[in-house]
Amino acid sequence: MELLTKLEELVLIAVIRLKDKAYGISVFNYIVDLTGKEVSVSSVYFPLERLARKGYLQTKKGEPSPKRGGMSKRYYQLTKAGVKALQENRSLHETAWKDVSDILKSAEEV
Amino acid sequence: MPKPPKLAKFLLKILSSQEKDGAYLGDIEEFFHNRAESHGIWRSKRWYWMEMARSIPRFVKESILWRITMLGNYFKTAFRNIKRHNGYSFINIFGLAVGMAVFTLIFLYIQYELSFDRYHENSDRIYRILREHVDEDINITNSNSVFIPNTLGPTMVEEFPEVTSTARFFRWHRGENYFSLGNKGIYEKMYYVDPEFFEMFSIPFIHGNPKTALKNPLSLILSERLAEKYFRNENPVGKQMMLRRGSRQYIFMITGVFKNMPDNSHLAMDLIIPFSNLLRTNSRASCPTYILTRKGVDPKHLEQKLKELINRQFSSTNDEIFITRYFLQPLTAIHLHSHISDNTIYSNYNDIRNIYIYASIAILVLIIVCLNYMNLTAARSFQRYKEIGVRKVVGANRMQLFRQYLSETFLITIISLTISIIFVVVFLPGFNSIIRGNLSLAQMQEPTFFLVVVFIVVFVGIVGGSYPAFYMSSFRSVNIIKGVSKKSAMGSWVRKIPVIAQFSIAIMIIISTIVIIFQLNFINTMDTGYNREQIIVLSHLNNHREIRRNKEAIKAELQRNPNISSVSCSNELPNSIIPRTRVDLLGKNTGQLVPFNAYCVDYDFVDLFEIGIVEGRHFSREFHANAPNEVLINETAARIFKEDSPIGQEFQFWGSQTGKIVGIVKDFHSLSLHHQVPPTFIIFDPTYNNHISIKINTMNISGTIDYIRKTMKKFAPNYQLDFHFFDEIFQMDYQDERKMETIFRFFMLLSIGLACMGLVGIATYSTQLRIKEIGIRKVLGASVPDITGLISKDFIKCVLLANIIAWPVAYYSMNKWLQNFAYRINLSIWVFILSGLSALAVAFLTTSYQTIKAALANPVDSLRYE
Repeated sequence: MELLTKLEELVLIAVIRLKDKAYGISVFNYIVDLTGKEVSVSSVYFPLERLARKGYLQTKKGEPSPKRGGMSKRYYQLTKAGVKALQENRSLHETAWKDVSDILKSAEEV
Repeated sequence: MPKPPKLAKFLLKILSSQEKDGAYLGDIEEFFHNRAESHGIWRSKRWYWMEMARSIPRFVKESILWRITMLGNYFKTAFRNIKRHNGYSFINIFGLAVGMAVFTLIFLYIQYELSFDRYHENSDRIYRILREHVDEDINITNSNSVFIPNTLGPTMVEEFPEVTSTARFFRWHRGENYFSLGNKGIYEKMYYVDPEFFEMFSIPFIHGNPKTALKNPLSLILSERLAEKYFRNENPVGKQMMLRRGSRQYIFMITGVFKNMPDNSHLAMDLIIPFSNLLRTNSRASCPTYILTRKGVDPKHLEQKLKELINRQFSSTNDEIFITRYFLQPLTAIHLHSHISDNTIYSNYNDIRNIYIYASIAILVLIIVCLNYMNLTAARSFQRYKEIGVRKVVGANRMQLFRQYLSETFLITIISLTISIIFVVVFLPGFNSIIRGNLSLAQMQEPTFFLVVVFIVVFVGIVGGSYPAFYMSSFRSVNIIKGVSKKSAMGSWVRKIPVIAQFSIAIMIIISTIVIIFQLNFINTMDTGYNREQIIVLSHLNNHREIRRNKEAIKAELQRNPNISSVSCSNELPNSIIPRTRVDLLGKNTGQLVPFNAYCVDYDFVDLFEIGIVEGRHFSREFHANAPNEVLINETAARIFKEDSPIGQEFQFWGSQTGKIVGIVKDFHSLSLHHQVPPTFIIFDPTYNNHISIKINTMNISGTIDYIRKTMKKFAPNYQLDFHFFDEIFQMDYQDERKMETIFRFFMLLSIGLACMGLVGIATYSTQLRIKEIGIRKVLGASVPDITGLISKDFIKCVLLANIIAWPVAYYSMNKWLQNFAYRINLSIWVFILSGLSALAVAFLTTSYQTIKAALANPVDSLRYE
């Protein structure tokens, strides 16, 4: 299995949640809302592109509009591989975090 | 809908070019619009830029940052160098600044000269009609005339649909007219002008209506300047001015005041009355004429039609000795491209050739300072061996070093430019007073000036900077660290080229300066053929009947004063420019008319101005009673008679008058010395008396002037004493020449100074290159003169080579320049030799100074590190 970075993971989650409305800006907005951090658009784009190249995301051309300077949108959808990678990462995550909350609590008390 | 910044969008497009569908670009733009609604347009634009910057790939970003850091480092090094070697830096920066200031000043001047008459709205459609005489008998240069038949302009408007209107004007020779204004008497130049004039040219009115101001023949309009002078702040419209001509008086009504005609105009009128007044008294007057054409009319085509018109209607029998040609001169060409023989109307003509000379001086000065910079920087380079070596060792490549030294040059260029602009601002008033011009700092705010500044920076930066940059970046690091200076045969030639170029230019400038100063001096001191000292001239006497009537009595009264030796009346002075008269040589050149200058004088004129008699006699009281038509001719005129002695010959002039030649006077120069002496005759005619010339001695001059004033008051109480020393009047005619001379001298001396400064630099440079050699030679027992001779030998070779390059160029250009003068000095070989020697002397003095300094120094200092 392949490890995803935190940002990649968040991006994949965002794409799943946004369903068929997942494109650059909506993904970006989701992540900004979630983290409360002002990041640059390109910093969302790089993982999106990387994931698409890895085959976790597939793209679909959307409709152009004057507001976008005549450029069309690019919608993203999770592929099977993407779903699998996300699931694997999640189980890895959970395994790693198991029992850690108790240890954390005792560490806080020190 | 707000638009994202164009440049940023363009850059972003490039950066995201691997994305085919442009979704990223679209996203950013959509984002931009969303933000524009919430954050405002400016902040979202800034955000767009930020996004663009963030999209730059990391390695590109790094390299740009790195470059900026390095540039910062280069500038830091450069500043440290400037500070450490402040003597050198001062010479460098000061030299560059002076050169740039000179360039800028000349640029402003040229721009001003080129701007003449361009401010008129219709300037591209206005033409002046010129008449050209091709005179086969006598070779007269500058043979164009602005005086054309006054009916030609109106005929053209009638006959040619291409011509929409015409305007003529006229001014009597010298032009001053006497007006009385209340109880004041004033002299002003009066112009007769067509009313169409103010429709054609853009000269706005302050008071009155330009359309109707000249309708009434007895109307008169004034310039703002005159209105201020005579009426202060009052509006003069409606006031009266009385013109006195001889015994007649005309009352004019002021109907308008126009804005002063600008300095950069060939028109300078202050007092205007309608043209119709001229036609009433002199219907055949010739006058300057302008036409306004329709848009898109080809002047060549119009000229052709004009030629046909002339052949049909205007071929006059009077002009048969000339081949007369009419042509159209564009308004904007008047100031610089005229070759006018009688500059009585406008005398401020400049010549496009002078503009070329100035432009070449400007470029030459800039090249000189670049060469100076080049040589000085190269000279200093050995002090930076270590720096270059260290940079190389830590990994600088040649390109980086090249870039470093180039950017250093640009830094110095920009510092110098700032200083030079301060120089320009400070020296502009002085420069204005030299050229008697009116350049303003406002010219420096125009976009063309900005272009010039950019040109200077790029020119100096690249010309001056690339050589040292190339030179210094080519050092081999091993040699540098070892402390060995490069000494290949190739290298020494590369090094010598700018040196030789510098010397060549210096020699060329010295030769040109000597030739120009000698020539102008020659002209100024050349015997004009008449005396100018201790003569007082009273002018404007024609309008005073009392004076005309009592002329003999006035003369007798004046001569009673022991300090006045003689008095003469004449229509003109020996230096006046006189309209020519055509003379029929009665049988000699059958049927041919030759143009002559004519003077009307009384008995004492020739004596008073000390015009020498070559043959025959001058007018005398004994002979005159029997022969009232005696004339004198000058030597040039005598040659036209093609006989051994023209004395006793007769000729005809002014239609029917005959003159009998009784004497030949020496040629005297009535025109400036650019021109040949024209054929001239002097006729005895005591009825003309516009000027009274009074020869005085040096004793009690103010008393004598007082006496003259009292005498004139006695006979003509109305006459306002208008007197000048003849010497002053003479100098006035040469004002423009003087101006030219001053400018030339100023710039020439400046460029010689700059060139010498460079020579000092080179001398220092080449001596210091060999400082170790000098040390070793000294250790081995060479004497100071030996070493000096050795180093100088190298230099002498360079200077000789420079001479060989400079002489032909200087000879060619100076020969060309001298062709402008009718009387000129010979280009003597000594000028060339002298210039070469002086360059050599400068070089020799500075090298020997440096060499002796080096030779006297303790060799331990120069050889310590070997």
